[in-house]
Amino acid sequence: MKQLRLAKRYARVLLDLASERGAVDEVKADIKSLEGYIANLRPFPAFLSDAKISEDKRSEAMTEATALLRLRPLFAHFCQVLVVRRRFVVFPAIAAMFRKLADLRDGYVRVKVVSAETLSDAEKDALRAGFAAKFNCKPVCEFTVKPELIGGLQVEINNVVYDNSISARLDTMRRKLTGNSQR
Amino acid sequence: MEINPGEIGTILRQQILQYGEERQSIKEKGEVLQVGDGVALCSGLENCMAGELLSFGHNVFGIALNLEPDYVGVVLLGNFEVIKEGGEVTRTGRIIEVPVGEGMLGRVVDSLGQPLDGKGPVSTQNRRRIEIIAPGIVKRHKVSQPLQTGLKAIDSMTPIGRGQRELIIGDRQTGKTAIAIDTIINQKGGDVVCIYVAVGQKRSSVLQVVQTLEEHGAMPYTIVVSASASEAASMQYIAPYSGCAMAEYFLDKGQHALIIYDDLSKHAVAYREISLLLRRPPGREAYPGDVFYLHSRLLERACKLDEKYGGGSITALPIIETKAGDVSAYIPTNVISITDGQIYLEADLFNKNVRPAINVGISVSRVGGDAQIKAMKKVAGSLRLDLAQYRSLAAFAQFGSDLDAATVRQLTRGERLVEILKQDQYEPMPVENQVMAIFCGTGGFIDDLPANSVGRFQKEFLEYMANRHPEIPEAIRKSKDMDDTTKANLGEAIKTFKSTYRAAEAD
Repeated sequence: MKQLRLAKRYARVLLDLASERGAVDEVKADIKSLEGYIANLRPFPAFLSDAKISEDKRSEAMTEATALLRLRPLFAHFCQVLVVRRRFVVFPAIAAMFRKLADLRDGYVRVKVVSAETLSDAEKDALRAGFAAKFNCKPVCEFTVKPELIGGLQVEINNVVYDNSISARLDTMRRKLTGNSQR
Repeated sequence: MEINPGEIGTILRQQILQYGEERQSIKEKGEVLQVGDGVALCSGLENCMAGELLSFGHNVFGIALNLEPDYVGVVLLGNFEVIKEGGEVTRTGRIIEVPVGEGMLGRVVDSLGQPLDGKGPVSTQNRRRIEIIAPGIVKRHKVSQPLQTGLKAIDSMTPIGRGQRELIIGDRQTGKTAIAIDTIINQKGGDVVCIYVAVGQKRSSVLQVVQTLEEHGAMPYTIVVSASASEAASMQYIAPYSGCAMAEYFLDKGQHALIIYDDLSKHAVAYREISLLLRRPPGREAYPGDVFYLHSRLLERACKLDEKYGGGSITALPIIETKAGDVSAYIPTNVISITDGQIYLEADLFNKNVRPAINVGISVSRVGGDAQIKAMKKVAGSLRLDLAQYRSLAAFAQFGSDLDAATVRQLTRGERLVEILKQDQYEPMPVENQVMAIFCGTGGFIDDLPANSVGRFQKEFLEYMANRHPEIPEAIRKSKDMDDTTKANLGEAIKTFKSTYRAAEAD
């Protein structure tokens, strides 16, 4: 939980700095490339936060990575600060939080749409337009197909799931008929 | 799964009328960030309410206890091994509910009201929230009706009224549960429904209690709620509230209920476990700051309602286990201050074979006096004083110096009274018999009998009264009073019996 709070704090500062310089998208790209690097080198964050390794060595490793990935100065400096403060383990959480905060700032909202059958492009556009009007946002939709739903849609937006699928309705009916409200 | 054909029509009707409205179900979900030791931390769930029931899927539920800016701390109920980090959690928008009703009587259930006795599903349609606010001042009535425990030492000196909260406190193995069980057995044939909540007890002990109740025919009017020591702390934490919800069903119907919490010290320990795992700051003895509220909100739900609201009652007998007789520990002092009196049991007395091992000197009942029947008040009025004098003199008499006649008389009386108040387990006594037995003692009729013969005398005397003078106990039972005629008749009967008893003894 401490990590969550830390990540929020660091991500907020990074976002503020990036938006002051109009470099939010660049930072996003840098984060993505560093994440790719870490995915191939799993112990990297732990190494960069290890107190037993001298600060110079850790900083050096980070500089190497910066050069390799051609990270821009703002993000490179941010990473160096993380290394110095031995907070690099939190980086994955910071990355996720940064994207979330950036989305929130720009009015993007991630929407997960689950349908029983594949939706046509026209249907998808109609849904996007609907979400934009209803929630006053720029929806970023992720469409998945789940035949178990039988019919209808399941939409998740801001942690709220709107479910009008046939399976959910059958479930409600089953609960009503058996009178079992708890389970 | 049973479906009542009659209900289908009603449901279909509702479905047609509400077709548009109920097409879409809305649920708020979150993600499990961390899980372990029976608690989970979840993100999302922004509108979650304190105490709300959350669903983790796989039939696992949790109660939201900590609402933090970034996450919700949840205590898990049921089999939580199936929950994984990153798993989904959804709000239910409800407070946890348990089944209640007449169908629960005679059953042994867990904290969620699920049967544990293998007698099939519980046949009741009603459900109640486990946490409600206790009835307010306007709805209440003062404690005025007695709740007979069937134990002479309690009914005479620390009488319990319906709607009272009387604490039973003492070390381990001093007979705390025995008092509770005797009280349940004594309600046989009466109008009181009993609920026995076992928190953190050994399963073998719970089984023993259930068997005892069955043997004495007490199960048909009793519900046993069991959250044994092997169950999760969360189940132990909610068990008393579940039991209380079951009692409140009867309260609302204008009936009388007796609820026994056995015991609240283990309940506090379970709550401490949950609180520490949720990282709430520990206070004295590592209990969290709201451990007082934990018990006060539970015991406040015991009440006697005004006639306008049905006149029902819930009498609570919480049990607290002390360590080495230390009543000044945190939980005992808390519960003592919440309850309307306490029955204090002592290991020393227990070992001296004074059973029930009640220390009548420090046991009190703050409101029960009004509820005591007049007959008992008359005969037992001097009992407490006599016993107190006896105890102070007995301490001196141990030195064996010469005693004057008055002191010897008081010592003799005290010894006889202690003997009179002794009672075997599972043998609760009707109040009229208690009155007659105590009258023998306080009236000085048995001062000339040897102390070790008092028990036998009492037993035979009560048999004699039932056979030869049934009108006297009958008069006491009916009028609940003892007028001068009855008193004189009783005195005569005792004298007559004594002459035959003496004679029998001589044989």
